[in-house]
Amino acid sequence: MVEPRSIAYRPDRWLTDSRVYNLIWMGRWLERADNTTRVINNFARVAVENGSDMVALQQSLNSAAAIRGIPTEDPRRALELLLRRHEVSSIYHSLTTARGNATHVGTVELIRALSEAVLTLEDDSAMPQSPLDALLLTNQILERLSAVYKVIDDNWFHQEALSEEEVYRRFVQQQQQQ
Amino acid sequence: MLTGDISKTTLNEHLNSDGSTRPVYQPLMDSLNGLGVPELQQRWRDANDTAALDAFTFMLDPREFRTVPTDWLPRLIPADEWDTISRGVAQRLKAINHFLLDLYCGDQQVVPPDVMYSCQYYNPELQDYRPASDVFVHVYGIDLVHMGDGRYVILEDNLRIPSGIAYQLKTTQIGLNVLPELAGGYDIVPYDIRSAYLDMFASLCETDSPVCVLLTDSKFGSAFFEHRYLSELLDIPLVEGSDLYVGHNGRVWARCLDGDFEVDLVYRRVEDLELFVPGLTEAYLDHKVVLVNAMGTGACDDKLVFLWVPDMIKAYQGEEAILEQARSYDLRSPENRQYVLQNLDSLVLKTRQGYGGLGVFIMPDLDKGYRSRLAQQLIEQPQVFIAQETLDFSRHLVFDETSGEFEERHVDLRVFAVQNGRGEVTVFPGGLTRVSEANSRVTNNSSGGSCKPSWVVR
Repeated sequence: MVEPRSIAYRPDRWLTDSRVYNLIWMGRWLERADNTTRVINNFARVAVENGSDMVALQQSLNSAAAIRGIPTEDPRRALELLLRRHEVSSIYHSLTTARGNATHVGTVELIRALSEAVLTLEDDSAMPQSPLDALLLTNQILERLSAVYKVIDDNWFHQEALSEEEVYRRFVQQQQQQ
Repeated sequence: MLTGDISKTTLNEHLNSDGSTRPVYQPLMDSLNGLGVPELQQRWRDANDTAALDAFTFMLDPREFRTVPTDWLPRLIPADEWDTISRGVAQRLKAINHFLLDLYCGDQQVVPPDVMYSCQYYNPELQDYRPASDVFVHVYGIDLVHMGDGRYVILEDNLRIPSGIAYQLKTTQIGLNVLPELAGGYDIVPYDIRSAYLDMFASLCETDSPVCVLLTDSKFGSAFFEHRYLSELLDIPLVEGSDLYVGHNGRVWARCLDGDFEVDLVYRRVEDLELFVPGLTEAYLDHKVVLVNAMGTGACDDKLVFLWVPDMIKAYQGEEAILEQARSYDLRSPENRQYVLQNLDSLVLKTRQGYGGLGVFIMPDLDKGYRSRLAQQLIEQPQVFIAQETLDFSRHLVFDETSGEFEERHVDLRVFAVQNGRGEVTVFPGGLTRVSEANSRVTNNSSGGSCKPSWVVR
């Protein structure tokens, strides 16, 4: 039996309704982003190994996009839709929505980690022009996602969250030293 | 009602009237020259990236992730100027608090009853209700503009759920981290928001270690960054309306996966409490929970009640107001109405209950058609508006990192203060400087304005 008043003093136990709701959805959106990234990564790896060109990669991704409910009348746009353009199922949308949930759930450290992942897709020049580009970009996204998982792991299980409180404490300390 | 003659000026914060650099700005200008434009552009981008990474946002559209547009060049306020501001803000906060206590628990004679009872935010159900430690106003925000020579003029008070304190802190933090050179040669007055808030919370509750929560509207609210930030900074749970309920013992409880817990204090960042937590008003009136800010403070958010604040200071403090306020006109009076209609083109019209830049009409900046429609509304419903003189307040340099050029924009200053249960007021040095868009005088973030760090320097 948990002593009710003590819960309020332990940040890790503040699993209020709204926090749980956001936690679940953050997990779901992260998983969707992770899945889609791995699908593209896999197809891109095969394309690079087989020496296929971008047209072939787009055609392969077209069916993957269809499975995810993304209408791809123009197969040349499949990669773009999966990465960034589709309003619901793109990696970009999944990550930005997960970040929205994270603002309610996590510490500033988690938000930073997710923002780093989002940033990989915000640069227009990063749009892949070849299967190798697609492979490198998705590798980068997967790396960023791993960083997110590490923060979650640290925050939830090891209580090492870098919170705004800690950022503020360091800031005050730095001011005093000056 | 007149509150002092405010002459029109054109002032750039970093310049004297003869065009020379103000001494307080000299080290900053030297540092800027030392850095050079390309380096400044890079630092600006770094600071903007940090803001994006930390989700330092002010949302205008809940579907759009929008970081707060910030100019990282600090505004400098000399400590002696700040001393006057600080004393003036504390004086005003105490007078308003005293007035609210008199309004709800006494027999206030300062503001005419018809003004008070026609105020949308006057709460008749609070009659004879005394809040914890007799404090209504815990967190106070006040909007000032600089008219030159250290003369600051009050535009309005914010007493319901004033927002911006986290923006003040975050702009300063990021700015100093990314551009530490700019602080060279300055002794910046420090402050501690966390301690002041936690002390304020503890002083209002009867228990030694009160359970406090921050009530937010949701992550889709415009100032959600501030809610999240303060909850993390103060280490208190961030809750939505659906997380709270009033239990069988009449107390407020928070729903939690590991067991619900009782709440002693709700730092509320929402207006319609009953809508978010049914029964919360009753629990509050039964003294089962403390609300920060208290219910009923909105009565002094009213732009018409604003006209009587200097009288409140005289009545309750026995002093003259330290800070002057913009000359304003009560349009219920036929003489004032006539004057305002004759001079409408040079005045500002404000709706009594407007906020966030909404309901503020700067007539010189509007076209003729719009002005005549507003004049018609004013004739039909004079009780809805007040008029204020248009102030040509100060401008500040802002840096455009795209073009690498400096521009000038109008700036105001929102200053924050908290009052604890012992009646002690803490005014946080610097405040939040809000910057207008080009060719505008409206500085509110909700209306497209940006912000910049403000340092009080010794």
